[in-house]
Amino acid sequence: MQFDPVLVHDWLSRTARRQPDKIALISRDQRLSYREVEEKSANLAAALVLMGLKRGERVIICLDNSPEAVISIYGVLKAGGVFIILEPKSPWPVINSIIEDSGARIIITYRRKLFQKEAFEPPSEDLQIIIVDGSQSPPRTFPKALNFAGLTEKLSVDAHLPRLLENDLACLIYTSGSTGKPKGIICTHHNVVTAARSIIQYLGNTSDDIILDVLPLSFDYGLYQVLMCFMFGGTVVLEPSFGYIQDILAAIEKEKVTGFPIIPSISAMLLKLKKFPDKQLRSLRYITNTGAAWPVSHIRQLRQLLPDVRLFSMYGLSECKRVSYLPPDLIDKYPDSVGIPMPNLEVMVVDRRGQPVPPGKPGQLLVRGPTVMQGYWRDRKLTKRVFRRGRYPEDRWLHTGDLFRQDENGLLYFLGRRDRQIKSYGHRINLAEVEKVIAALDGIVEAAAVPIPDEIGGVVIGIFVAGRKGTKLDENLIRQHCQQNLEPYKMPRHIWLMDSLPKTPNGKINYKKLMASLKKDKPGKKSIPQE
Amino acid sequence: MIKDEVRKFILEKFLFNCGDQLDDEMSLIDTNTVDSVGILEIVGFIENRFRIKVEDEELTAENLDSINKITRFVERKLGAQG
Repeated sequence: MQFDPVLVHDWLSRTARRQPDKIALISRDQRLSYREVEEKSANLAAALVLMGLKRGERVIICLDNSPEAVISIYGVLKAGGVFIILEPKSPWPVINSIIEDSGARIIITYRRKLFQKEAFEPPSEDLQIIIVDGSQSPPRTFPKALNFAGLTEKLSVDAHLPRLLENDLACLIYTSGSTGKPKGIICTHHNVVTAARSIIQYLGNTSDDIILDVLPLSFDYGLYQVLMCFMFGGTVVLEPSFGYIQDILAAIEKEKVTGFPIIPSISAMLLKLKKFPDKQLRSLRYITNTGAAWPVSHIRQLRQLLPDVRLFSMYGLSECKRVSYLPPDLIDKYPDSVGIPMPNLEVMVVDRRGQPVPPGKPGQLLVRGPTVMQGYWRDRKLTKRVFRRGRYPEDRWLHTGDLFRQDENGLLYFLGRRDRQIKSYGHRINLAEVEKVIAALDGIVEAAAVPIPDEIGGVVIGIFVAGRKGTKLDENLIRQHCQQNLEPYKMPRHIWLMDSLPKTPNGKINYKKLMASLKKDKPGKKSIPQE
Repeated sequence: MIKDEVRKFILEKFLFNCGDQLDDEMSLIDTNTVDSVGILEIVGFIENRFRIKVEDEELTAENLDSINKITRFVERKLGAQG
């Protein structure tokens, strides 16, 4: 009898044994077979072990969607390491804080990234840099840097790869926190494999599927496209971003893509085209949406324009990967629902005292199942706060912080957040984090971030800033500071300079008043470019 | 000159005038200078400023992915309108 693999990378190895010559990955003009991905990642794993990587140690992969990123993921896993994917777009202060928080001793990145406007200053002497692009010789500033291509070639010595269990860690997924620093979500191999299996099950993926992945691998939604595809043995077409819409459409047409995972900003851009590209999308079998609620207007239009494409409206959070999906047959009748819990996961809607509420009543959504994370990296306090004890000692429910109602048929409806978290372009952003970063700039006394509706992004960030008495605040300076200290998607799109911010009677910033002032002045017109 | 205006727009809008490293040949997407929304903003800018109409089919890297490419694209469009 043959059992399914329990480790993420063993699924790749199994698929590579079954269909070694099938194309696993297409990225611009490169096409890699399963055998190539399997071999190169095994070679990298051996090199990492020889470099001294220990079981459970973290490795930062700071690369765009690319074959190198995928080979790195599997190389790190095979070596017993824990991968963290960061977007090269992130500025160094953000990356450095994650290097320090995670304790990673290895970073895989681009030569050009090291010499960006603000050059890289490693937070520790021991940090080993691996460079994927440019010439073979290391740059003068980093003489010990290693060359990625060399590490993915077959070594003449054998390295002993560690034996792993499914409850060993596979990755940390960093997401916006309220403390001004990103927090790391801890995922085991078991978390990842069970989540991927449930999703594959309800999407009905087969090895005939060709998935287009334009979402960053640093985002779990983008990452899982690759992990899942290598489990069901399909092909993934990896694009660095949703950059030039015609190039994306051309890739769909050329590669006969069957699965297209999107966020609402992508459907917004598709629907904005003067002529909807239904012919170029002919090969699609399904489109999935998560990351932010899919506007009903998008769903209705797509249903009309692409009647044969199955639309999956889904909901989830990185802490448990995915929660629910709406079976496509129900989407015309219940377009505003995010459906039912996915296989192997259960939910409960509770009131403030933690008591389950009757159908139709709002409450916080709790989640239970094997996909739920192990906790937040090095943050016991926060971890303790998001979990609630279950029926036996190790059993736990995760507080999602999201408000939901569940109707009599068990369908779930997202109502909003309990805290100050927003979704912009599918990215989860805690407004408090943005405020803290901006308030750190010299001369600024306080900053208040608010969500501003946006046609493409869903919402974007607007920020009210008050300076110290007598200081003249410079908007460009604030923008530069943001660019140097925040990921691009956290950049405020609107900035308003104020003498002081309105307060509530107990001295807190009066957000209601700030939001109300926006309605009067129509600040939507005050966007960055035209000012 | 078209190129100067395009460069000025990109510098002000996306680099807040501190983009001394932005070369006219450099890819805007690969260098993370702009994202997909930024591209649409650039398109909006050249449409308004140069009174041209950019078609859906023209939203490609070939036409838009560097200051030089945008400049050549605008010149071609203006020439065609001639």
